[in-house]
Amino acid sequence: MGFFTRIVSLGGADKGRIRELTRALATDPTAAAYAALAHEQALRGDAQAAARTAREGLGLHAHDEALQRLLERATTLLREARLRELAQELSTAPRPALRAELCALLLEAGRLERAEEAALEWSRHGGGADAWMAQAEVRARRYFADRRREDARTALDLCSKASAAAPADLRPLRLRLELCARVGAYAEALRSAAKLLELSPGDAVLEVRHRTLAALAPRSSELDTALREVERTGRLADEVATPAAPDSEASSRDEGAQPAHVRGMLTACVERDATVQFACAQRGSTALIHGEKGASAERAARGAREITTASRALARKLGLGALREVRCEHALDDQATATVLVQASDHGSAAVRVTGTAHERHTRALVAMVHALDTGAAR
Amino acid sequence: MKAVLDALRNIGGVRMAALVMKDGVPVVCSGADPALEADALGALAAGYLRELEQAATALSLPTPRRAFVGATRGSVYVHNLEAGLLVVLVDSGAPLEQVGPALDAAVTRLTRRTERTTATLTHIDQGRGAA
Repeated sequence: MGFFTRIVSLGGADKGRIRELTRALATDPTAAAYAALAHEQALRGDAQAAARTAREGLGLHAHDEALQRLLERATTLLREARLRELAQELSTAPRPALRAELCALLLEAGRLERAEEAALEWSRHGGGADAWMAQAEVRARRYFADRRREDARTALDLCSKASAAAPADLRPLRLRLELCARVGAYAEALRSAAKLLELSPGDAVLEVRHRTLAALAPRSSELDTALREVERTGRLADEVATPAAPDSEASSRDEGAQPAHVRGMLTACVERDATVQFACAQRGSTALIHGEKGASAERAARGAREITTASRALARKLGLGALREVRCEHALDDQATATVLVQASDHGSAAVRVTGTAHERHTRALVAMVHALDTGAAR
Repeated sequence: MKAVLDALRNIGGVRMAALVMKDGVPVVCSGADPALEADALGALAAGYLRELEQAATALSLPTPRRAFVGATRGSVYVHNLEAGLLVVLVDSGAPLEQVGPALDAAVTRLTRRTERTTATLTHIDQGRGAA
């Protein structure tokens, strides 16, 4: 925020409003009060303060959607501002640290094409191992989204180049380990883990990883075979699906993997909206469903999973990237219609079946569920 | 038919529009994608619809009339017509609020045209029968 803008925006009325909201927050620190203050700060262009307020609010109200949205928006604003600064600085005084930051920020923003361009540019200007690693990370990210073999191969080749140029660098080995383990080439991943342990002996996390991989190695696939299998099925080894087993109301195969509040969201989605027939959330081999019972619940969860899997495969084969939304409209008898709406992230998905057309409120509810599934699993 | 597809293709961000038979064989296509041929697009769309049909059975629903798949780098619409499939490939950032209504209009025009063709063929058949 520029000095002049700051002076202008700190006009009496604005300042008074912020002071008023801060006082209200001090007396009653509700999620709504935090959101109101963060919103006001964002409106005045002070994204840093907005992010700080939203983050503080999330510390007390971790699942508040409005605060999560505000934090995301403020973070995006800050990132975009920094990207603009970096572009300017790079045009006048290019240096490796700035190029590394640019690649990292673009990667964080999910702008993979731009990140790859920046990494290639860096490589052309003698970036060496760091530039190759930046390229490898972009390729790996693209591989996890699209599951195309060439992307994984390129990422691994770049890791090898980076390792040869900087043998003590842990990053290429870590990326190689992650890629190989996720596709099911456990023997190859085990080799990377062993090399990593040589470089950082006694690392407790790595030791556990090594032991796990050693146990999995007997049922490992060759790297090429594993990559081909992932490309064919569109499924990584750590995403192997097993049939969901919902019970009468809402159920989970693995209670620990699903945050409890997803159940609440499913219940609210079905019970507060008469058009919703069932709502379902899935991650890994776990499915939660509300609105159907017994065998119907199992069939509905299977149907929703099949729609998501087929759509993921289609998006991947058409080169459209990672699946985010599916909308299937069905014409029933007597002019009525039904819609199945799915929102998906890289690892989880949520679906509803509604009578008539799906609306923005359904999309919002599903996006919140997917977010809860992802953040719940990350905790 | 080409004109109907061209009208869709003229919307900013629409990369390709194709009318394909139910088995995926392309009938007519507007727009080209260097990385994707109409044959491949048709085959993928037809296969996808078959998979959706199976999933719909599990959900006690008929075959979808229309499916929209949105992804990070673009979207695809597959509209299930009586005689074939209308497939529209859209770039990310395209105005989807324009594509949806335009697709409805294209479907109406294509359906009307098919009905007229069917009526003409029936009329010819009846004429032959009478002769």
